[in-house]
Amino acid sequence: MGSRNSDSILDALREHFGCNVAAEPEGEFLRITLPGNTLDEHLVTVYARPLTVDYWEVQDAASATADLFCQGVHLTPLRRARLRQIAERLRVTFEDDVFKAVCREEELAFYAWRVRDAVALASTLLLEHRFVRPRIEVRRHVRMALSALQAKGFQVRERAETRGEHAIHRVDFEIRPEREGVAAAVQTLSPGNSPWLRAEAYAFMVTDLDHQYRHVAVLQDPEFWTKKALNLLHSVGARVVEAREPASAGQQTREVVEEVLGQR
Amino acid sequence: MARRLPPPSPDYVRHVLETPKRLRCSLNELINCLNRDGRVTLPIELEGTTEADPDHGVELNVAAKINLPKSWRASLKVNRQRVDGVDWHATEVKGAGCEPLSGWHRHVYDEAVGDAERNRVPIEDPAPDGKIKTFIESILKMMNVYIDAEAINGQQELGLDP
Repeated sequence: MGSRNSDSILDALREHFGCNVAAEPEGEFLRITLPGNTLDEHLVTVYARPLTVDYWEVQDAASATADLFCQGVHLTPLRRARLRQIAERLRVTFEDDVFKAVCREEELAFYAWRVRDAVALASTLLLEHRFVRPRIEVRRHVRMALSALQAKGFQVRERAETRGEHAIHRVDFEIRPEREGVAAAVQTLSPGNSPWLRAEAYAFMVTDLDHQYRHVAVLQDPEFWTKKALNLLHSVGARVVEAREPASAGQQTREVVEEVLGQR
Repeated sequence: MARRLPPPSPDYVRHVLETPKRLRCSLNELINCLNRDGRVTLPIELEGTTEADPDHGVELNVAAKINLPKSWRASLKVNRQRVDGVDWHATEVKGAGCEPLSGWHRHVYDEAVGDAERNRVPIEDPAPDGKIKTFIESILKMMNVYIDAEAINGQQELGLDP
């Protein structure tokens, strides 16, 4: 490649990066915008202020975590640890949700860029973000399947309020036999962002309701439930239905309910 | 690798966006929480509903950690997906009308795509006086959220995100 080509590319690169750099005062800070997009398709802005005659502080004003937060990525201890690792690799700090560095004035550009890198890398947490799928689809199929039990003389109540030893719970479906006997409580559970927390909450409900019900947990998106969370569900004595397909989940649930109520 | 699950249905999101929404938290409480934690998540109730919808969660998020208005953010989320939002970026990307966009902008829900991430339209500075109270008042007005003063009296502790 001739020097003419490399020179023109170099000029184009300088122009591209140069036009994306800005520094403007904002209060006690200097607002510095640097080139290079995050995954969100925006440039990164960092804020610098003098601490002493020689030293400056550069930070992102918590905008990286605020951007994640506003897009549904809530900061769990695990995610905070990840962000701290990113900061450590880049030799900046991550404290109180802020990427920060303290440096000499001559190092300001270097550390501003490091903080920018940390912000850009933090945006990769968006890749892990997944939405909470509404439970309605699975519940609709479960409702349809359980309604068939009414013809057999069972009483089916949806969103039934029940008092436990410590709290009042709401059971998705309560199926009570026509004659005396223990009822079944069916709960549809989505893994959310923490299957373990969902399992813990469900386990609390089961133990709090003690012997009032035979419990059936219908798991939505079973591939996202961890083994540990599944073990907890089994250990509290719940029958677990893995709803891989909403349409078949209803039928499966009905069969399990009939089984626990001794009808099969 | 986690599979990306479907977002809430566009019909429901449209319903949320069009319906006036109720916030059971006073402005002062909200500001106090922001001062303490730097961010706040508050459940939002749709007008006309009396109990929480078990299948959908609507929440308002505000983040304002540092007293630098351009670092403040707000979003309205359904099932943890942003369907409306306000933020500032020194960005030169294509806005809704394919115009270069920088500064304060609003994330507008795009039914075709099913999210509000790329569809941005420029807006006026929501806090021209640089005050958080003005910022919050502006975004509540924009997002059609009102503070239910009657409900605040005697309410239990706020259900804030940990």
